[in-house]
Amino acid sequence: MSITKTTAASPAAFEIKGSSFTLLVLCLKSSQLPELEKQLQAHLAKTPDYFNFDPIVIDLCNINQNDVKLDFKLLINLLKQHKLAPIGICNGNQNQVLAAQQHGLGIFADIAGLTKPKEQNKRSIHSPSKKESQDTSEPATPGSKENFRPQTKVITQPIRTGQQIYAQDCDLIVLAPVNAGAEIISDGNIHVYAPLRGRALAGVKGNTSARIFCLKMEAELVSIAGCYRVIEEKLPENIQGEGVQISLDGERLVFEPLLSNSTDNKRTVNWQK
Amino acid sequence: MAKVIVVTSGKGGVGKTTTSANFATGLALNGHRTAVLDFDVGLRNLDLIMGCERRVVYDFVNVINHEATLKQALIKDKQCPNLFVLPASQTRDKDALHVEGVERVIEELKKDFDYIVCDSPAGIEKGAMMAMYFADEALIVTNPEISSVRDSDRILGILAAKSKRAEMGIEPVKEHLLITRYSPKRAETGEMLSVSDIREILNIPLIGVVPESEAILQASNSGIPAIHHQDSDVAQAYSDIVKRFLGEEVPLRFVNRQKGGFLKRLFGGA
Repeated sequence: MSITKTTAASPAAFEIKGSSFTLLVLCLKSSQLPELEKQLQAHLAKTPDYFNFDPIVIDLCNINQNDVKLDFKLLINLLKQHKLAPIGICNGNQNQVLAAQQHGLGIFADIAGLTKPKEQNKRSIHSPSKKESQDTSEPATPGSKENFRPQTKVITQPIRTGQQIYAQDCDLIVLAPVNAGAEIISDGNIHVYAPLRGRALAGVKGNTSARIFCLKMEAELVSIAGCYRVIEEKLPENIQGEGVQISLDGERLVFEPLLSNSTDNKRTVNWQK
Repeated sequence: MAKVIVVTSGKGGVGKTTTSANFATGLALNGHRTAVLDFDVGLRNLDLIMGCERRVVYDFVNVINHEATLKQALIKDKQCPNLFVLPASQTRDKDALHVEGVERVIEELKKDFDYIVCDSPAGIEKGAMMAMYFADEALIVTNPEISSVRDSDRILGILAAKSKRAEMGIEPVKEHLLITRYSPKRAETGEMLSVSDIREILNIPLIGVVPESEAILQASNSGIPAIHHQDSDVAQAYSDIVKRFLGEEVPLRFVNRQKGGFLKRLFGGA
């Protein structure tokens, strides 16, 4: 009894939350670690600070045959030397999963073909932050810029309850209604030239300058760079059911009418935690 | 070329089987050879509503398992010589249906019929998936309430992604919104969603509105689809729907409140 009392009185020491992160994936094509070390060194020679203990997942899809031996201890040390923080594996076989667990690595759900390489790219990294650093320094691999060519995903059909659309590494434009119970997600901006009744999450990889635009604001939830707001009650008259743009100001989601002529007209709804 | 039409909704109890029976009967009354298939394996109802439950000897699953020929299983309707019913099995579960078997039955029916109406079970499980998979057109049966509209929305999404047409990447399934159990009076007072509310959410063309009516219950219990009683509003609504489906332009009825005079109210229309 007294135990429950003390726990009730003292503030909670921890909280377990769900969250989603964008991670780098290292797709291994060979289990020969000396060769890997050689190539990594050559690769990172010009930009030794390319990685800053970035968490990384090791994808074993190319080397998960039963007879392949992989020394996890060596591999982990090797990656740490290059300022990478291995946190888990995916697409490993049973033995590899066991070995990885013994070395303190997590096991990610196998994703078919996520990093099945088509080109001779050593690394399969899709991360907006790395893209910027690549633009300023030297391009890491010829042709890797191809992967980052900005595109816009355009959806012309209604997005209905239970459906989810994700525009990876690009903006999302929807020309039909997004119904309640549907979810649209984008790494960039979201434009909905129709009623938005479902959930819209822009800049999910952390792009705080992403915005959400819609012609008829009836969303259940909006989020920019992880800062979200559940909309349970009606928004102010000039927002609810109107053309609206939503942006992020610090930790506040700012709702503005799309058709406001002057700044006086600009009444905003602040996001409060 | 024969057309396959699925009658579906997601939600149960909205009037899929009633619509299947009346729609198929309407097509047959218009001179088209029509087969109506019950996909609700385990909980068959269509044969009851069509009044042929006593004549069920072989069923859909028997045909799929090669235990009977299609000819043996099809039941000829008492009223319309053009109409045939393929009942569902009562003793199996929905896993008894599989793509190859259903495809074979539908292909065989296509040779002999103009229209094949598939009565879908509720839900989004195997029976419902099988009923919609081969569809060319879909009647989305929706009641004027939010949970039904939401489920219809879900079904429309599945139809656009999981039908054979979607998988083959050819012209998508043609969707029609069919609102049943509509009461203009209650929609007017805001108790029910209005036709325009539903259309706005689902965003597909409306093929017709069937008013809430006691005639439906009577028809179901007597095993004669309501469309045969042409003096009732339900029968007229279903006849209009069939005509629109066949390409005729018919003005929308039963969406506005009847404000008839004193005498009409006293003696009633239907």
